[in-house]
Amino acid sequence: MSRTRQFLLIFFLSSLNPFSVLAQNNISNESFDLAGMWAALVLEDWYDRVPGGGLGDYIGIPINEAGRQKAQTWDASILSQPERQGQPHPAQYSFRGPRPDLRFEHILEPITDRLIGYRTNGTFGRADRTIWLDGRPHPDESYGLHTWDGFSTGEWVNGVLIVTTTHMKYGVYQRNGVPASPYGVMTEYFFRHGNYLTMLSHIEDPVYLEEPFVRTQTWVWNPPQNVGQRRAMEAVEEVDMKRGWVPHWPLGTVHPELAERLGVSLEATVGGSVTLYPEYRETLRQMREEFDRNLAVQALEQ
Amino acid sequence: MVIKLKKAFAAIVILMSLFDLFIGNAFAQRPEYLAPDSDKTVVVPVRENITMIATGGSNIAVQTGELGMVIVDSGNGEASVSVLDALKKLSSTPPSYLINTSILPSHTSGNGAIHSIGEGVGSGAAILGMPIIGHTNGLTLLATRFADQIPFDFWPNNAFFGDRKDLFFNGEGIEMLHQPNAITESDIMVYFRKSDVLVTGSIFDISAYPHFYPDLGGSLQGVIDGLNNIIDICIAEFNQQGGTLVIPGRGRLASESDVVEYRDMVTIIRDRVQGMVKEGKTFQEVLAARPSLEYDAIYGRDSGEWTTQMFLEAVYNEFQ
Repeated sequence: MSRTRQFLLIFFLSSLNPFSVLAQNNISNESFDLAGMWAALVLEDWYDRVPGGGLGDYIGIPINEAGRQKAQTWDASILSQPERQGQPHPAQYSFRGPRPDLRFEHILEPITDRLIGYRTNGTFGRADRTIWLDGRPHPDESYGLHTWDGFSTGEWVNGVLIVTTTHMKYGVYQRNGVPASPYGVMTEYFFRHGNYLTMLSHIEDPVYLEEPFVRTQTWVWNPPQNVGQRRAMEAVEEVDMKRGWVPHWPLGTVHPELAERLGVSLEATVGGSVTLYPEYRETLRQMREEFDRNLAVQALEQ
Repeated sequence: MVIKLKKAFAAIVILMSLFDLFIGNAFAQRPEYLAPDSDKTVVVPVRENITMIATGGSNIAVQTGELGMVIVDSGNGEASVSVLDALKKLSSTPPSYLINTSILPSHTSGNGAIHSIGEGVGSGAAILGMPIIGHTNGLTLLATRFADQIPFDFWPNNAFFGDRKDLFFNGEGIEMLHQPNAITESDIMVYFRKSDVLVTGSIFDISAYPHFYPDLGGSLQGVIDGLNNIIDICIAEFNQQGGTLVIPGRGRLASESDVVEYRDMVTIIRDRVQGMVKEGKTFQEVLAARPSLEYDAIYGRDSGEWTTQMFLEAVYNEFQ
């Protein structure tokens, strides 16, 4: 059982205590309407979300060895391939950056006017998403088509919209090439408090993650905002390339720039579940001390 | 407000626990495709008149219409009962054409079953069996390598030896495009023009590393050329999805961007292995460098007919 699951299980069991803070929680069973304009509050994880993590920055992502190899050999030039120029952000990332400001709109059943889903707009490259609320089944697990937005179904539980997304395409968790496999499952929890909307995403990926990857994003209700129509991207000839051009860095490439800048070992910047937990701060402190000692020695030698 | 937010967040954590423990993660695993000898099928609607029937051997594409069915590939023989059942549900008209993208038994073992319900051409004493279309190169391979597995009566009886063959049926043009020296020397792809659906055969097998047969005229470079040809044919409708749909040799229904990912994967592994061969590394050294590590959990196998090691060895040998 992963550390995250252990934590969640302990948290759940502790909530059964009638005297716990959680037992006093008084969230109603009513749902709320998501439709409208929502402006992203990007101060949380601003560096990762707006400029985006630099090459080799996988801090805070529980990627495994395979994911690390894919990320380290990823060459950003691949986005110049004609077939990738119109590629939107995948569902595993699209609500994460560069902002995005969102428009949620209703999908109504045409005869009864019943709310059967939401459609969202505002993400990079028109990575529009659809969240079905009418209980329809997901496509066939093994043979169904995968899309950039995946297939999402939602249900209301105690005032929280829980959205399950499958059938996503091969994508990224971060814009610096950290890979997301097409076989992950993303569970998102949308909860509203006044004019604020927070979404917690929880992704399990059997190919590239050592344990579930959990992130939160918050928006504020913003009626004057205008998330308007945008045109689809069109591929153009950006560079002179041969047919079948696939840029990639050689096997064994590492990106030490961030580690050198922060004064830590490379291992601290290449992700993995061990780097997620508070006790890793002690390891980082020791790395920094060693870095400073080396600097002092170098200064003396000069 | 901060306290209320904390309470709300705590409630989310509880919901996560419950969802994770009892509901979530049902799909968080590599897909389980039908086994090569499975007698089951999975039917996947593709377009109004095009359906994919997945079998353990290969995917089957079916075009339905007033004139009859055009069927591409027949899958493994064990699944034939299920395939015929699915065809009956799709259309009341009989199969008019069967097209084989490959002569490999995984694509042709069900030929006999489909032929048995197919509509022959001609009339009276001159009536012939249902046309089975394939590439001439495949006939040689059938005669020399697979004669004991596919009865002669169910070999392609309408073979072509050029680069392409065209057919207009059920209101749309159908292109059959020969791809030289890819999986074998007999591969063809089938493009339904009006429906905008491309059936690739095993040149694009999204369930595994490409299983090419050098002893049957196949090559990794031929597979890469074929993947680039598929990408040239495909036009995405909007933001790299929609538009042309692709029925792969095996595995899930796809669109252009899925083929691009697959082409990139094959090309990257080719480049890595080729580079190490140029450096004079032995196959064991190449294996130890793990040139396919990030793709193994998606396309690789540790056992069975086509393992990751066998794939890498075939790539290595291509540059020896």
